[in-house]
Amino acid sequence: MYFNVNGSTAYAFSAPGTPAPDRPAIVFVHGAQNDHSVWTAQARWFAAQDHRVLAVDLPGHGRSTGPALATVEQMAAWLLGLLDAAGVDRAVLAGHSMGSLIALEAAFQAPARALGLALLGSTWPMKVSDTLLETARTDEEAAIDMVNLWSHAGIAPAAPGTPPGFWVPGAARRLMQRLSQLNPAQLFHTDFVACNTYANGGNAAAAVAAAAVGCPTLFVQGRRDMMTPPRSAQALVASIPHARVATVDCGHSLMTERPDDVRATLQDFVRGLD
Amino acid sequence: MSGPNYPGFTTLALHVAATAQGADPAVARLEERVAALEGGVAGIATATGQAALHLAVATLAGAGDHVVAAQTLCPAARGLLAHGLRRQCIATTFVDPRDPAAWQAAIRPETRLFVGEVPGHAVLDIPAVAAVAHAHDLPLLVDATLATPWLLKPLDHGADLVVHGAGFLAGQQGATGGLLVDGGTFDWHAAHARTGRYADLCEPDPRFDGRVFAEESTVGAFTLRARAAGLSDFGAAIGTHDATVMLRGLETLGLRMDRHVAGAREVAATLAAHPAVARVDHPGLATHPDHALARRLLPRGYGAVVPFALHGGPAAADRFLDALTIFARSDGTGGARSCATRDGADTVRLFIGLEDTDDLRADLARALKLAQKGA
Repeated sequence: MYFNVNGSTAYAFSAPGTPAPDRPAIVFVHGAQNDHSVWTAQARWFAAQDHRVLAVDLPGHGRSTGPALATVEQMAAWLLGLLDAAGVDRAVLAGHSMGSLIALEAAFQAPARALGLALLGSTWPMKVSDTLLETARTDEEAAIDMVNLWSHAGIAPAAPGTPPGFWVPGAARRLMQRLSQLNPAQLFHTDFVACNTYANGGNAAAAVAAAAVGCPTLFVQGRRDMMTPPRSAQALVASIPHARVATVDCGHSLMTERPDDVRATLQDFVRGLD
Repeated sequence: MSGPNYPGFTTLALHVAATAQGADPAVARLEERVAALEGGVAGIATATGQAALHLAVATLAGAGDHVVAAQTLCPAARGLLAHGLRRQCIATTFVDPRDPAAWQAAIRPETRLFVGEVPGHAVLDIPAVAAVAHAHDLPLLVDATLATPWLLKPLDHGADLVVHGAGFLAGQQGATGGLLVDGGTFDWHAAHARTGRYADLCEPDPRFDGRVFAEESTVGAFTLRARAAGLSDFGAAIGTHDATVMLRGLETLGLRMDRHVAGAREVAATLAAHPAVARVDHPGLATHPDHALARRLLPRGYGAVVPFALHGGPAAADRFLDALTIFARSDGTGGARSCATRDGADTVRLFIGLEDTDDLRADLARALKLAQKGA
């Protein structure tokens, strides 16, 4: 489904379904160098349960045109613009990795519009090492391979993939390569810089987004996540005292590594909002 | 809880160790492993290699559509395209796989797919042919049955889809099964936007509640569609036993391929030096026209197939085959036993197995001698 946001084409995947007015809309936000398709398993399931779902492509990612936005604050403002264009007043905001910062920031910018926050593979500060930043700038293909290795509990097929026959780390790698092809303008580096420089995170002393979050909040962490290890997220989690933390036995690519576990966790969370 | 007093127990007991969504665990493991070995995104295991090729074509082409294929494809694949699919109004133009210009000249507005094979008599120049295909928004499928991912990963060189027969993956002659691997490299959405092709992947499908496969998966749309529609429609799914045989075979793939390749190299060299032999078509020989390309694409070796022609025509070829004692008279590939078969008028096609190479060479020398004697 295509929208016009700030004069550019914006795409959001909305799986087949018949949204019911009493079911909350759910907005899924992907991370760096990804697109909506990392959320397909969960988006399809919630759409089949009569939720309105929007799994967005951020600007410059996949089917959404325009240059990639440089900061998490801009991306959050864009996301709220997309909600306006889609006629969605309030929604559960689910974000993964960089997308979790975007969801957090959107809830900070427009608290009334967030029914709930689901933050997957999140941490703050979301530091990106100088080596990875530099590799992303000079050799995107190599950066993709590094990140793909660190984003999965194992690079070899372990548990059967979903959908059947999919080699999950291979599909993740190819997706990042496709994003490079579609947008050769150093997308990965732009996204990493946005993660790295997002200041409005969870430090309680900074009177910032996380502390201002009033809506129900869920963290979903990968037990074996090397990109955003659960331990590194302690400060962020502590700054949202009412947040619930769920752990899934996988790496950083939670939605594709353990689609059913992530879906069930989100399902519990969304059901609890009523 | 035990015994029949537990409500539903009789039924639940049957569910123990069943897997989610009805996926066969052996089949799913095989599909993922081969997809991983090829560096693709997903695999679909099929009843045979031929079924994998059919599934690929049927997913992308329908009545009125067109395929461009290498004229050197194995006879079964050639037959499927030239006859079986032509009956269903999918036409194929066969071209010289060495000549990228021939591939280009064969393209029509209704072309949907390129099909080639490696290694063959002639080595498919995958990068050059893939470039032609991609410039016209077409995917390239490569039958890599004879290469296996140990010798060649077609996706690394520009192919978009790969098919395999069971032979070398299973390591057993007569093993049945096939695989269709989706490289995730082809952008169906962009090709559809530019040409209108591949609507089945890129537009809402009323059969599947309006699903759009290219939206659901940016890189795996082909596999989603092939599994949902083609595999279910045509029913060429693999059985658990065949999948298990292939899984076990995969564990020794590298060892076996190295041995096949080494044997084939020695046999080819022996034949090339033999006075009764007119020509040897093995790309590992420096005299083969595709030798430089083969070295580039197949650095680990050129496969187990050694086609060659004898002096003395078809009669000599028949006498030669009759005189063989170690080589089996069949065209089954991938097993431990070498075999030999007629391929055209005066050409013999050898598949080199895993036997002692000196024994093979002695058998060939003796049979060649007898073949010439009878003339």
